[in-house]
Amino acid sequence: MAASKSETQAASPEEFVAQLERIRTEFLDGASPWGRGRGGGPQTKEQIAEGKRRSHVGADGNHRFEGERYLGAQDKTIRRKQLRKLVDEGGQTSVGGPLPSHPALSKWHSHEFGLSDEEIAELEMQDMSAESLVSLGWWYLLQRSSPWSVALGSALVGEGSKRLPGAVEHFTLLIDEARQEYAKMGIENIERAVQLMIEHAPFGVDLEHAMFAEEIVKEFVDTPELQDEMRRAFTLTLARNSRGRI
Amino acid sequence: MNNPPYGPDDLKEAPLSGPDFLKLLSEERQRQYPGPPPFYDALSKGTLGREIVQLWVKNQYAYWDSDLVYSTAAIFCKTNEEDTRTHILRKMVCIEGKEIVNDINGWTTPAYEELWLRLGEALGVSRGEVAAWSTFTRTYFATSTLRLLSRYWEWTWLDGLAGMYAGDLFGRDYLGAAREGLERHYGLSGGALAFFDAYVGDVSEDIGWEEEALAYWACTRERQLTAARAFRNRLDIEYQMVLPLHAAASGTTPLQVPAGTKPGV
Repeated sequence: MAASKSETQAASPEEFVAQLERIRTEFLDGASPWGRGRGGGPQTKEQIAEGKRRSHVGADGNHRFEGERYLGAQDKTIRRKQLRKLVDEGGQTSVGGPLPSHPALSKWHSHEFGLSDEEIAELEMQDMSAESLVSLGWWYLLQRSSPWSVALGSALVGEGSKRLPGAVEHFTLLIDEARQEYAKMGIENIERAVQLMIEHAPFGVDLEHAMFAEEIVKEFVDTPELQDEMRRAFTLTLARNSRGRI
Repeated sequence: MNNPPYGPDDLKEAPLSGPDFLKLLSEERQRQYPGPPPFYDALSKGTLGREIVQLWVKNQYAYWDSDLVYSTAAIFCKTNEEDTRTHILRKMVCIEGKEIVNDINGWTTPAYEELWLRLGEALGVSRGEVAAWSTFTRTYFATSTLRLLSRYWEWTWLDGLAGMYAGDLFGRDYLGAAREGLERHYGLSGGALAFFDAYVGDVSEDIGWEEEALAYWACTRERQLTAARAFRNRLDIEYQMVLPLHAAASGTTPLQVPAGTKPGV
């Protein structure tokens, strides 16, 4: 039997990225990742504080997956671009810059909602939830064991979604509404509380981060085998991020 | 790597205090390797022929270009303690080139590997010759071991830090002396020696935080025992790395890896 075209020939870069986006659209039942109502509605100060407590349990692992991606990168230019991203997320303060790491910015947010450093330190030492354990375990293994271009390309699901239509508007609104809500709640330092949201928003340097995965996929995920792996990684990452649907 | 685990008898003593643990590491270094590797000793004294110095440049390039990058980043990935990890991140930037963060702070220093290539050019070694060089096997085995220990379960993050500390002490002392030797005996100056100004300056700064972190986090008997072993392992690796160059200087032709050999991990 003759092999099908998909088994013998890689899709073009544009077509392959479009295929991945079709997987996303299908997974989201046709909805945009940035449609209104996906945020779950307004929360009270206590609900936000409780959510932050949950988020600190078991501590942050940004360095683990971003570090694995860096470690695996076989192209020196890409590797150094990933290092620059590590600096943005692991703390520009490491090189004398103004912004601390994303985990530190998350703590800034928590402080404004009444969590102390002592409480956060205690939460970080606790066992993470079983769901977090297995989803993060899988995520780190994906980064460690995948071909390097697939590992870096897997950022297309999360960060990469911020390059899609509606993301800028979504984050602009999210941050504006957070500022207003936090003011009503009596949050003392609103700018510290929203700093991590700003860092995650697709403005400025984070827009570059959002585009990075697409650049990798287009340039380096260029064989049928790599594209198959990328499809699997993309689909499984969508499942991991969907929480509750798996 | 193959040692049986420490048992109750090994672990019944109380841990040393932080300062005493650092003192122990210093004594271990003095006991294990009281002086520089013969190659660096000869380089600082200017007794090596220029062709041996050229060999050194070619043979060590892969370490600056890849092995040091990899081993440092592998330890970064293992480090869940943020202060230490932040220091390691800065170290990674120094290795890969401070110019990477030029937009943040205006730094312009290139990667160690680039500065190393410039050193080679000043000594008459072209970039093409460096790229075409097949590393001496002993050096390759040493750097492969560093990659293995740093990457996998053999070293914990703290063991990795102890290894990093050993590597930095070695680099500060012996590459600092190499710089002086190259300037005094081989006629190099200025930009040709920029590698040493960058690297020795960076590791000299790093030694302070490495000591603080080791003194604080190596707070149990078992952590101290394994970190001390990692410290000794890293010294072994550093000395093994340049051993074939001493052999070459002594008239023996060391074995080389087959052309095209890639790092094992």
